Amino acid sequence: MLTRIAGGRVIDPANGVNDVIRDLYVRDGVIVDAPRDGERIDRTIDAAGMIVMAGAIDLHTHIGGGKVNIARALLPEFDRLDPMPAHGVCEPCTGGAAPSTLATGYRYAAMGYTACFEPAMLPVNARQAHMEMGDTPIVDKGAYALLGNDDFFLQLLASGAEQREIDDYVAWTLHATQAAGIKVVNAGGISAFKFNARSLDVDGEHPHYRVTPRQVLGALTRAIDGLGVPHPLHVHGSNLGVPGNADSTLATIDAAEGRRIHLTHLQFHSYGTEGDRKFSSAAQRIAEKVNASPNVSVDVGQILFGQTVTCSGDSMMQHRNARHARPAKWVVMDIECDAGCGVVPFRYRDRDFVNALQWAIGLELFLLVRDPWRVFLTTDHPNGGPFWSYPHLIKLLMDRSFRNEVLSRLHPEAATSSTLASLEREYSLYEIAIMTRAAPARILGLADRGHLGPGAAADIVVYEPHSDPEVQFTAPRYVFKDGTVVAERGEIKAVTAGSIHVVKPEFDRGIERKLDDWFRRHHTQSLASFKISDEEVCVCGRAPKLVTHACTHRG
Amino acid sequence: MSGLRLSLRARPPARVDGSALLPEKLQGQTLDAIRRIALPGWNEFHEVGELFEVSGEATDRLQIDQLDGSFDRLGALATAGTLVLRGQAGDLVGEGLRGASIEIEGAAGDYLGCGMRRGRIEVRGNAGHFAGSGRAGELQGMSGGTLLVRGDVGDRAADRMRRGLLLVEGDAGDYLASRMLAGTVVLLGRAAGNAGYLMRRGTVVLDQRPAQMLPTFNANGRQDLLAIQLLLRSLGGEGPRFSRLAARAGGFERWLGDLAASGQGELLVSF
Amino acid sequence: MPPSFATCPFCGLLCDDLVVTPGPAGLLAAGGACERARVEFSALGAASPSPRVRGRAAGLDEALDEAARLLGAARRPAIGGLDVDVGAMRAILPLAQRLGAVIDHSGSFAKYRNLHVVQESGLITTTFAEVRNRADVVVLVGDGWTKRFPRFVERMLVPAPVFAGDGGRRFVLLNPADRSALPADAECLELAVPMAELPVLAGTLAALAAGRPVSLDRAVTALGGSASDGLAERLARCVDWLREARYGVLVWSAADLEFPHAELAVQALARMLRVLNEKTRFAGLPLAGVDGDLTANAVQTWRAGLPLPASYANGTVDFDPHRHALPGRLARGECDLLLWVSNLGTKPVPVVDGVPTIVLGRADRTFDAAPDVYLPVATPGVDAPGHLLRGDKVITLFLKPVRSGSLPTAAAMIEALAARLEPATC
Repeated sequence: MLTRIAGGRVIDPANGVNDVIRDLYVRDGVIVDAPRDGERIDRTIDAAGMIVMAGAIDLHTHIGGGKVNIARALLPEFDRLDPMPAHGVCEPCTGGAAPSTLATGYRYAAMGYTACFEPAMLPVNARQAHMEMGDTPIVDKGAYALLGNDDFFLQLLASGAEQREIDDYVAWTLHATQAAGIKVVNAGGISAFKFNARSLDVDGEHPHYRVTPRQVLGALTRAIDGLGVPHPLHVHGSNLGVPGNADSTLATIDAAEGRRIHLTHLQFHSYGTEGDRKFSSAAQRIAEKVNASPNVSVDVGQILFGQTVTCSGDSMMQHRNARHARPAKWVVMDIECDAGCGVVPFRYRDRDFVNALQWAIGLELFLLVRDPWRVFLTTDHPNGGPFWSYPHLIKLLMDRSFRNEVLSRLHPEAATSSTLASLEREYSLYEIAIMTRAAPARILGLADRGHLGPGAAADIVVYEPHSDPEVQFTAPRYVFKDGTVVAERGEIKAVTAGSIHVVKPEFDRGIERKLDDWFRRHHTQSLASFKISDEEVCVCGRAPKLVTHACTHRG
Repeated sequence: MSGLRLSLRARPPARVDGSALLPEKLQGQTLDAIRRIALPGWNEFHEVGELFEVSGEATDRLQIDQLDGSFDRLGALATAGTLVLRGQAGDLVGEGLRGASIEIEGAAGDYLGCGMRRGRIEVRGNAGHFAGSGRAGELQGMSGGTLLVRGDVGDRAADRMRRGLLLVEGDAGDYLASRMLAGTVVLLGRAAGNAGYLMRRGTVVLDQRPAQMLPTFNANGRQDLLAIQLLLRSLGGEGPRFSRLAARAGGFERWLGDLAASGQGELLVSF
Repeated sequence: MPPSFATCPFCGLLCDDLVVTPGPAGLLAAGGACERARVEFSALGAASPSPRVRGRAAGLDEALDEAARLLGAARRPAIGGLDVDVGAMRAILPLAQRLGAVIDHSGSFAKYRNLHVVQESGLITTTFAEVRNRADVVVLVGDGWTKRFPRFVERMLVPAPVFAGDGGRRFVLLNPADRSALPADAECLELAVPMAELPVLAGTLAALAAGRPVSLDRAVTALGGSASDGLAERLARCVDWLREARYGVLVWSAADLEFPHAELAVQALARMLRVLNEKTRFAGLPLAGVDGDLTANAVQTWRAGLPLPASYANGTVDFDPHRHALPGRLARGECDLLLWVSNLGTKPVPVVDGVPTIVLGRADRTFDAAPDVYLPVATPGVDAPGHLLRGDKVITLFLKPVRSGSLPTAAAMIEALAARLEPATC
């Protein structure tokens, strides 16, 4: 079956195409070259006057795993306010502060997103994370495995293990948990909290292992480069949310020593201590450093006003922030000599100085980081706000007068304490397409996603242009997933199953001898029980296929 | 009698959500239109005309007779008017009430007035468990208005209560005012076990000393507590038993707790 | 070849060091198998059932046809049991929404005790490996830690806590329990307060841990003790231990808390944990995972956004432990069909006059009153692969079948039933 998407204005930055009218052809779920004369075209979708982009990719969204499920169970009051009754092909479910997996898949797809990456998969919780992602319909999924707070890694590092051995352990983890990358959260801090430390600076010593977050970051960035994992080490920095944490963020960048590093939800890590309230924007300082460091990429973690729930692996900081919980209930867990988690509901209020300034800092970062290939559109869903507010966020980026109008309604000191009002930059559609499609595919090493060239998966979005970008991006005319029309004008038309994306770098399996011994002495399951096979992950993840992306050694 | 009258004549096979039957919603509609209103049951909708005899005129007063406990959420979220319920009124009557008056000439089920914010509910008979509390999974119970029960209340009355007034002429079950956040409870009968468990703030006036007082409440001596005396006097209009308490109470034995929570609540036993 | 280990699905510990082999009288569980595992595997090994319609042996198609006919005729079906694996739950939920069913787990009442606390206050918790390697003070509520989880002590509490320093591990028994189940040489403080007094004990400890002025004499009286039995001293010592712990763990099994409003006592304990964590580390371990309770609830929660019990009536999903709890729905005569799915355990199926009952159950189960249709199904980890959540909520393990057989999975049977129903009309 050959489908033609005819006459659309194609925006495909990965292939250098900016608003060029052309036809796209799709066969068996894949974009193909134009057919030869006389070849039969089975179906034509008229896209004349419409904008055509690849399916959007969210590289940091908490969609699956224990902490998200705790958040769902924690907050029935918000689910009750956001019911999603059975409708067409959709089963009944709820949205709310932490949406169900069904709602997540339906709403992402309806909005033109076709791939989502869970950024905090605890290795011991990987099966559940894959299962939750597997029950998230339509979209493709992948996950970053959490390392850097697990006792095995910390004792390796503390014992002066060779980098080669750390590389093997990182690679083994990617295989065993079926992950697409590695993330570190508050390097060493989650573990330090189990030893009763309440904070850990980048050069602070872990109370038990006597290693520093800087050493953890050094070893893990080296491993990622050495193994050739396409996605840089995904880093949730130290001191999340603490005024003055910009210093930690700059130190974190330095700790990478020029190796690739991705700083996630940077907004929560760009705070100064100036002013009467000892809370200020350090966005300019951070953005300058990012602009000057080509090895660094970032996603913003924009906050948007309203009720949300923060789900994080960072048990240390979540315990510290729990006093701000609203409603006042929260869960903190220490997890299996592996990591931790903290689930704290939160309500961002526009008349609150701190929240208003957080909002402004996020937008400052978006506008001050110059290269759209290195800054990604995220709200750290659901932590800064729900992913379904992305169209609103896009409008804030594309429309300066709208942005300043919103700013004028916030706590007045948000404007005076930040440079936002003076920033004139407006994102173009092309830049939006980079930051939501081409760039995430590139930084994740997804060769066949995020672009519209022949051979790419037919994940395609057709938008009706609208003077209000929020309207345009909320309910695209057509969304194709692997060639199937899954949504039209915001309504789900077909419920399909997405693939799982993983990387599997080469490594020396000799590491398993050491791991087997560690599991026997300290774990409560065997090494064999821990590992997830390719076959098993497709059952857990209900995936028609496992897509393994290439690792290229970067020495 | 003025107003609209519904009289139950057919028992639905499973519980029905009666929250559509609000005076403010029905007011001004024709009887035929009211008969066609569909109430959600379990996988089926029941027209009002199938379940009830409908008579009178739809004003701001609605009376529902012959209730047998099969309707939940009657009067939920009501903002205005008067709802009179006769018989067994079911669960969640007046849930989230925002201003109307509900009179129950009979008994109420569980979760009476749960999460109510304003308005008034009066029950001639008994109420079930969790009167004046909040829905499962939420942090706050009743946060305003007056809830008056002439009979007894079950367990956990005023659980998580945040504001407002709960008045009970009869006895209370276990865990009266558990996790109470603020507000006022006056109980003329006897409280069963563990009154005030995990209470944080708020005031519970007891006409009779409970059989046992939790060890996490400490005696704070005998006090006059003028504000409470004034409150009790203001309740004269709620009936002679409240007037008698106001007249009799010379002062209060005051207990502070629950020290297992923040400990700023008070149980006041009149003497 | 190294032995191939089996994972035991019969309690929340999911021990993965069993060796299961066919024996003369059924499956023989060895390796790490506890007595319960031996009994369960052996029982399953002996059974060779066929489907039954009203007690009479029937072919699979006939049984499925009859079950589908009953389901198709039902207006208000309830789905219960749910002591099942992830795969079965994934099949059950779409059927529940299609039928507009009310759905609940057989052990929900125990589960609510913890769920209420999470939803109405929050909790600080930990997992097995943290207990094993870190816990220097372990406070044990009730006796479920030994009775319901036979190898909990052996696997988590006997190994030395490597991160706890040199002091070893101390124990507190809050309620009467078998002291001899604990390591003999460990220091142990026995409060032995009757379980029914847990609310008062929990509140007292929470207040004392927060440094509040509580009269120990009054507390002892309220707990049913006397001035001469030393309870006041033991209470004071317990609080010292709580505060001195480097990494303390409070262990309870909600199923033990068989008294009304037990969630309030759990909330008092949760409050105590919060207070202790202001200065030191102290976490809760709500032991669960028996009969698939965590599994059923987790799958429902992630797919629908709301936990069990739930109603899928009228094309929506609603959570309400008060209105949708299955025992209440059945007692009020509201259901016109009961579908009971249970491939792990053999809890009795409720019998309600006039309510047709379909059971998808373990191969060895028996009935006092034969259900309208019984479809024997594979037990995950015995006859079929499966997944279960472990009792500390975070770990999900793969259950590898220990034998190959012809029993269909519960998921396959649910799908076969769904395929026989008329196309959905909504």
